[in-house]
Amino acid sequence: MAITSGTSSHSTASHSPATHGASTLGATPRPEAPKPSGLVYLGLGGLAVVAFIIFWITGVSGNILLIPLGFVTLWAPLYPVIGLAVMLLTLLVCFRARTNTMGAFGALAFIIMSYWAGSTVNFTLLEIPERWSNVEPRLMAFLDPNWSYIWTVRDQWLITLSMAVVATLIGCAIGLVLAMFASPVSSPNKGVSQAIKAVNSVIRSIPDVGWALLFVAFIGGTAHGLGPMAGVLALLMFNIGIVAKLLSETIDSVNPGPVEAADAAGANLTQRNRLAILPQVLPGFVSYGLYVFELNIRASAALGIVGVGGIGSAMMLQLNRFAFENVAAILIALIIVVLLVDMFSMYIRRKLL
Amino acid sequence: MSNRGTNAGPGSASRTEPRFAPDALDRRPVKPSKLGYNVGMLVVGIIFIAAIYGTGMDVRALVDLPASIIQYGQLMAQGVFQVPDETVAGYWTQSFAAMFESVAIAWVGTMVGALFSLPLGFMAARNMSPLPVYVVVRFILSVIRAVPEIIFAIAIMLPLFGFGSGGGGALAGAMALGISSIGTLSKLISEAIEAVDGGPLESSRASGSNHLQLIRWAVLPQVMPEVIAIWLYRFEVNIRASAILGVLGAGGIGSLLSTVFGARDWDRIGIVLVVIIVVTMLVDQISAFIRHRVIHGAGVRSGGGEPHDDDGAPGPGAGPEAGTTVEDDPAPKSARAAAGL
Repeated sequence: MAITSGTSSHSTASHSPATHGASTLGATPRPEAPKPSGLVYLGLGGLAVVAFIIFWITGVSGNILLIPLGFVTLWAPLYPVIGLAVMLLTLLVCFRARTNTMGAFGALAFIIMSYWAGSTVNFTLLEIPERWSNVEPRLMAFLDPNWSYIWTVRDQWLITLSMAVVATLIGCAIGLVLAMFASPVSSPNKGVSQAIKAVNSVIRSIPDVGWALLFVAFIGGTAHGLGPMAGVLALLMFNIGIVAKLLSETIDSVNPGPVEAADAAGANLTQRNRLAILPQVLPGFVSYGLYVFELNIRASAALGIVGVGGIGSAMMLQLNRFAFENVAAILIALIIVVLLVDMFSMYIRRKLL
Repeated sequence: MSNRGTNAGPGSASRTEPRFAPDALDRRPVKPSKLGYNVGMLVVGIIFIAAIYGTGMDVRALVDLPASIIQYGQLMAQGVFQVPDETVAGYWTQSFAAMFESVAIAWVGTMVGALFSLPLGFMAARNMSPLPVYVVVRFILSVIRAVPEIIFAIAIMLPLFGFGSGGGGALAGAMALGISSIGTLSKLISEAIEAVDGGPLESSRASGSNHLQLIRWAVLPQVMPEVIAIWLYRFEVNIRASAILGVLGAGGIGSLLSTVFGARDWDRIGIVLVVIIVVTMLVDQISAFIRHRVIHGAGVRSGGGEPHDDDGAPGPGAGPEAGTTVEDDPAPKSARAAAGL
């Protein structure tokens, strides 16, 4: 389970048992982790300096660190210097702890990535106290939601639930077929399996809101009846991606016994998949379906933001009117519905599986 | 024996006479009743049709759909494959910048989630914490999991940090993702902790370690690879989730998507989609590689060098945890880990 090093061969030579002072009993000295090669660590230090220079050049922060040296005052950009210090310190700790090269490189990459991400999003928590006044009215509204509003949007809730049901059922059916083609165990040949996998990873890489915007644009508006259609299609793509991926991984790991038996009995591909593979993956399939249904409830509430109808659209309308007590009512109802669906799917899962 | 011996000649496949009259034991087994299955299917079918009516969607829209997909698809393809002049090159850089901002949002969100999820994961593991702590933390985690991230974004983070890419929206999105990541991450980590091998725990207790030493020397070395894999999984999920927050005003690719779709600028839509697909698949590949490396160590090749989706054995998906699944969630863990994918 440990992170093993691919480059440990560098360092075995530097390990010298003689330094421990041979004991009088002549016993072999206690084994130690091999010392990592200093050269590689020097290279990693160089990498840290290169990263520091890049941070310096691309940084936009005006904070400057002044270093008075008596006769001259050096200056340096504050945050990149802190970053460099952290990187070098980490390398030092890794070296003292005799971390292998790959581990040290991973730690360095982690720090560089975090520095980059943090500076990209302008990470700061210092503004929270002064901006807290913006949050307070909303939080107050959340503590005092307009309960009577919940009942007036029941039609929207119905649309949201219906969209989730339709998308789940169709998406699972298509996902099952795609998974059968995607897994090398059940597909006609390797080419088909690779092609379907490629298509599936393209489908999965577009986020659900991307699909929703795309279908809203394709269908040509969110007028009555068109919005839910776009929403269902978007959820459909979202579900196909998930179900096909999870299920094809399940199919990869089915027990080969029944498959071989079906082959030996002369079954063709359809018969083999139907009789030897499907019964094995059916519990997983039902479970993924219920899981996807839960996801769909949340997603269809979120997708309302781009205008596909359902409860999300109602929420967006209230949000644009700054009617936070109504938004709060919808959000609390959303939490309750998600919890209920969770419990319902748990019940079904227990009954069926 | 003797029968077989005499009849073994080629072509003489004559049957031997049955020695007993056929009785109940020789009949084919009775097929089990399919009533429950059929009724279940019927109910699902009725629900399906009712739901189609419930959405009130206009099924006729499907008739025009293929034509418009082809039409707009051609427009998008033209946008992608046109020779990049000054403006088009600007579109590409803008798209990549927005997508990288999304990646940064997801990374910061995952870090925030990871920071809280490790201690909470220990508190939510039955073998690591006393019952009152366990119950309370589990309850808090299931509440966090029930709240979609848009709620955190709308209610707290966006007003707290501001809107838009420049005005703190990215940080707001990252914090919203981080808070909502805590629930899933802690749950998966606690399940990994509950599945640790008891041997090292017992031996470090026997050698007199206290609770912290136990965690440091017996538990962490066992679960850390899996925990890193879980964090990386969530990072992939968060990249996709940041898009919806972007539409709300949290910056990143979501903001750009809603701008270009608002203008129905199909050239740019095509470019943005290509950038999304390329960057997401790249990040998925790198993350899958690191996860595989962390879990299995160096030297274990992942099956056959397949270019796509080659994370056959993700940490939370595979493992012996099946027996110790906690009562409130028997879903497959790989499914859980892919939450919001």
